Amino acid sequence: MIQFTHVYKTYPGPVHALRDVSLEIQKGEFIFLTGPSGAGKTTLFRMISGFDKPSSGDVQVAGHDLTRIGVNEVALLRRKIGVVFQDFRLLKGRTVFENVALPLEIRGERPNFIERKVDEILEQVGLSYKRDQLPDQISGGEQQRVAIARALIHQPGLLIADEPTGNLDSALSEEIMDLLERVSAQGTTVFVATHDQGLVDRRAKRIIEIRGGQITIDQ
Amino acid sequence: MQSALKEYWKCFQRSWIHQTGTQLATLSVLAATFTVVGFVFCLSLNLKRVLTQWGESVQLTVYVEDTISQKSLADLKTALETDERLKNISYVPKESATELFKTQMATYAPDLLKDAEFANPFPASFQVQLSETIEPQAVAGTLEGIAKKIQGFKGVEEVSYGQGWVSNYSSFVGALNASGWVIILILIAGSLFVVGNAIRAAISARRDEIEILELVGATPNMIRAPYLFEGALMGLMAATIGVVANYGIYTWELSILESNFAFARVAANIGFLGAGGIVLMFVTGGIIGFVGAFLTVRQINDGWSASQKFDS
Repeated sequence: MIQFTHVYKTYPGPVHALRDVSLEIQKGEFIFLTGPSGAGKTTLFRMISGFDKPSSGDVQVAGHDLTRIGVNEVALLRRKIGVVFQDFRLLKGRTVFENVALPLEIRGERPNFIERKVDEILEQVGLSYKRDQLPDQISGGEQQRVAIARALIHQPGLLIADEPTGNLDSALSEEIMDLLERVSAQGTTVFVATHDQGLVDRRAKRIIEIRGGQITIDQ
Repeated sequence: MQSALKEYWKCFQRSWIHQTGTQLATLSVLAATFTVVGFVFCLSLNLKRVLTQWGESVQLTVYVEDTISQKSLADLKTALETDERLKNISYVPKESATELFKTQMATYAPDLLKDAEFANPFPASFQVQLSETIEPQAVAGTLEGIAKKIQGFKGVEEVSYGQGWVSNYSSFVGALNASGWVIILILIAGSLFVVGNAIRAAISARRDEIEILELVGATPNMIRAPYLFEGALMGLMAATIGVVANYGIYTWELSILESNFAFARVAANIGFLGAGGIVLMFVTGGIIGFVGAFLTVRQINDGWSASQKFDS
């Protein structure tokens, strides 16, 4: 699903965000990505989701070679993955339903299909009753569940979540992690970046630790 | 297609809701621009109509020699009558010219009518007028061409058409058209800039939305489309306001011309843009809005902009 081979990323400065990173993630795996702030976690995620290119090395995600990917192919790649952020990134002027429906609209699905799929996923994340609310009218935990529903609505093979519990209390964090585990159990590769060591310790999953742009632990 | 248009319409509404001031300012500037463009267009059309009417009154006189043969005279007449650029061809014999002169001069020289000794100095002539199909700015050139052609006929003494006046008239019409186009082009260039700025503001305000759209796999064209729609619609709205404002100006001017300048008899030749002109205004508005938006949106969104939101 994901393969990094001797990947380097250097930003002007120069800032060496990634140094000789090599990793391989199989389909259906659940992986935690840990490390201090500025270690290179987000750079890694940015590459996986096609928002940045490596300075050198090779990156393969869901069959796409990200070193040579073009603008339109990036869009196709993003339709195969789901992304969840700490700050939810929901469209404030649109309802819960409309936010979740967005990936399907982009793919040009029929309205009936969209309606059915959105209702199904909202039921899965327990938000059917908030269907017509705006993001500002629901809690942080609910907003994150909407973001997860949006990331999963098109049944991606890969879900990446960048600090998905960063803005939530511990109870809500556990709730979100349970939800992500259920998603993984259904065959989706889930890659979660987090600072929360307790959260990682409570779940027996593969852990990749990154420090100073280099992978220090992969177990 | 229908759902896409519905979505573009929603984006347009959101722009108006969240940036009412900017949108209103843009629409006002564009509407004012299109009012001026429409006014210049309408003025140009009406001046052309009035000048065409004046152009029709231009008369060409072909003087023939006293010694011209009947055959040459007939050939000349046929040549004039078969020329599609000419109309109202009439032959004025030598005697009629003299009689006409005597009648016209009777007030000033009454004895002239009784003077049997008065020698006839006037040549016979053909009086012709230009066809109304000739464009005002082409009058001088056309007359010159006709004069050259007729001058070559056997027995033609002189061809006269008030060369100086006609030349000035054609230059005036040409200058008027050129300056009208210059004004319209300047205003159109300004409109592109104004639309571009409005779209830039809309993009800036909806940056988060663009990033989220990128995130869920929208292609650059999908992201650009609502802004192009918004630009085209803004241009169309401005053009509509421009047409309505010009209609108001037209009816006001017409009432003044009919009441205060009735003696000039120009009101009958004054008209509004016409269906074709109005459609042209709408199409121009839409195109300018679209192009203004396109020039802005093509500079943004290369599929990587959401990366700016990430922190390394």
